[in-house]
Amino acid sequence: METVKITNLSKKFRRYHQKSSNIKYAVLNLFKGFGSSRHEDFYALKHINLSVQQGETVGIIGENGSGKSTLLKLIARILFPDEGTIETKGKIATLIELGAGFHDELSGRENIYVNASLLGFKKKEIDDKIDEIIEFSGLKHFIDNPIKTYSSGMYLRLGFSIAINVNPDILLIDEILAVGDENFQKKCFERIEEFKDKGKTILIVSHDLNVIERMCDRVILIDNGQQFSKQDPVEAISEYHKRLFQKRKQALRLGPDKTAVETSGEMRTLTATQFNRWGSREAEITSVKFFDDQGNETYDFRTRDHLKIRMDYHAKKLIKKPVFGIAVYTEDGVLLTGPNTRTGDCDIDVIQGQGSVEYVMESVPFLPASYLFTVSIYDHSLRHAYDHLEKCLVFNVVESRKVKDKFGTLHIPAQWRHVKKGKPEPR
Amino acid sequence: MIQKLKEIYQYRFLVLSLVSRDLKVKYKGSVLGFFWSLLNPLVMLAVYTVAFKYIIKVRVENFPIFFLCAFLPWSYLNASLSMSVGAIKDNGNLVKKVYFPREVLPLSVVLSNLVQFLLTFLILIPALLFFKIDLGLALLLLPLVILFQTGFNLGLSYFFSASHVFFADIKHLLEIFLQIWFWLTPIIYPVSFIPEKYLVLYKLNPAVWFVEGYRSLLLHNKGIPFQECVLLFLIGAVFFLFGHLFFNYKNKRFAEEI
Ligand SMILES: Nc1ncnc2c1ncn2[C@@H]1O[C@H](COP(=O)(O)OP(=O)(O)O)[C@@H](O)[C@H]1O
Ligand SMILES: [Mg+2]
Repeated sequence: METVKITNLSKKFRRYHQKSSNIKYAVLNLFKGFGSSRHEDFYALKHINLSVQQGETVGIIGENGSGKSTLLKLIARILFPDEGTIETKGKIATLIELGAGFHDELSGRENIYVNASLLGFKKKEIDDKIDEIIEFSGLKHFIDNPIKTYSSGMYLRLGFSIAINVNPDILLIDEILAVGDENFQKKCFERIEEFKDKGKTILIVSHDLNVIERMCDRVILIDNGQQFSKQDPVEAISEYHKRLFQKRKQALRLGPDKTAVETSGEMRTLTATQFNRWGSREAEITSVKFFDDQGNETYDFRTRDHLKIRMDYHAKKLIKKPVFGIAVYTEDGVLLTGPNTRTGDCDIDVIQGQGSVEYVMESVPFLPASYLFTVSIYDHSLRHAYDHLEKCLVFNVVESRKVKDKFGTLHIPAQWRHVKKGKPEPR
Repeated sequence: MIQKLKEIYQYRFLVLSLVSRDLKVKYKGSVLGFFWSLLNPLVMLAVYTVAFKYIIKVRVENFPIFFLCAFLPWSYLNASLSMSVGAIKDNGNLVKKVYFPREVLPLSVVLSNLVQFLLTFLILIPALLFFKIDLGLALLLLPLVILFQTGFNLGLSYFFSASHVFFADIKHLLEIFLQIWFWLTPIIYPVSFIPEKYLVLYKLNPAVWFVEGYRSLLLHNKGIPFQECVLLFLIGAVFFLFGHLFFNYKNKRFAEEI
């Protein structure tokens, strides 16, 4: 049975030049033909077609701003389509953002009632479920405290417990499983698996491609509001990497600041909307720069060159024991290395205000190719992200005379030796 | 439309919990909470009594009751509108992230004000008895008038809360509009004060009909002529319908405009 059917769906948003929500502009607009001059429409989604069968888990991937959340919100009926139709069968529960619909002043228990009633449940139905919900969330001891005292992980626990225990037919999940500790994440995934086995439908947006690949029967890649034709998980994910890489590369070639990206004819700076970025942002990465041994900024290196990466940060409040980390990926998204200050024995006690962290490679171990670069700040347990900029930069390694290796990805400092055995043949 | 109403009915528990939360928040933390809310009409009553008796020296028979019969329904209208105008936008967090019939938001504001309005009868009825006003069969019509007024309030609340999403300034306009409206409604003066030639125009104000209806029932212990009953019904129904349709039309872009 088809539980979600989307036919030729398009969604326009308005981009205001000057937000015209006051009377002066409203009156002005009346004279100029209502609302015609102050905004322009742009398509956040274009001609999307999707049919999801009961029991399927479908992943949605794409860069930030490509329209993933918009698609989920359309399915959830929070937004309305401009063209095309969406048909759904059964009750929908959404996990679109942390603690949507929670009230800080109310206790966890009261919030369960409010939240479940938002999903259309009656008091009696919630009465029947509430023990199960509290049990699953593991918040028994906190459930009567006001939820303003909860941590973000606890928020997620509560929200997830409600959404999954109200027994919806369709579950929509948007980038939220990244929060919360590993234990609870595991519990969530188990529950989602169970949910799948019961023949329910799941649509999930996640920047964690491993999760997507593991869980999903099909994957929809959305790029700039348009959908990639193939929905096979492996194909969609590798296409995603390919396109991501193309864009980063282009980003680097354009403009003197090497962060401008050319999209649909207009210049936009490479900001948080252009790649996946997440975290609570108490501390932020403000800039990432690469330098050669002379101290010149560059993004082209040769194998065995000296490379220095400088990450500037801004911590809005005092943060104890932060961990800075980087990661380097190949063009197809294979992780080559992921060192951090904790494993690198560079413990940082506290940060507050501005500062920078450097990572120096005495000898670049990569063979000629282009590489994607990730940078992040986590807490000491590596579970809570303050700021995570996923594949935000591309750097190149070019041919060098010093190294003639050609095959593979890495240049491993090593020597060849030939050991002769036996006598040489006499002539 | 029928479908929409059905859906709202399905979400009745949400309405209920929003109303009770609203009342809880209002009256929590002060034992006298409810009595504080009664204080406002009483203070207004005192102010206008003094003003009319001793300063302007206008005489209206039985002024306290005359005033309360109109002022309490007016407060219901006034509070419904000024509190519901922001109902959608102030709940942006919900509207942007969760699906539920959005009508629930202004609806629960109006209903919570309805409850408070009904509670104020706790002072009105003793006051009526104190001033030895006869109470009789006319009171049986009271629920109908309240129902029609609720339809009227609801329609306007739908209209203003939906408009507010697109034009924030409507909030300020509404405040001014309510001020003017107060004076254009026979709350502190009788309709007989209005010169004959303006009377037709004056009676275009729907609030006039409601106020007169309440007065006729409570103050004069008289029924309401059938035609006027029908008129009150029509006002309530038309405003409700118009508000509902307008709300549904605008509803499509709430989540993206907030
Ligand atoms: N309410 C809105 N008004 C105008 N533009 C919006 C609105 N919501 C999203 N957009 C735009 O639509 C595009 C898609 O956004 P979104 O679906 O949130 O992307 P994603 O979830 O893939 O990161 C972005 O360019 C975003 O700026
Ligand atoms: Mg999103």
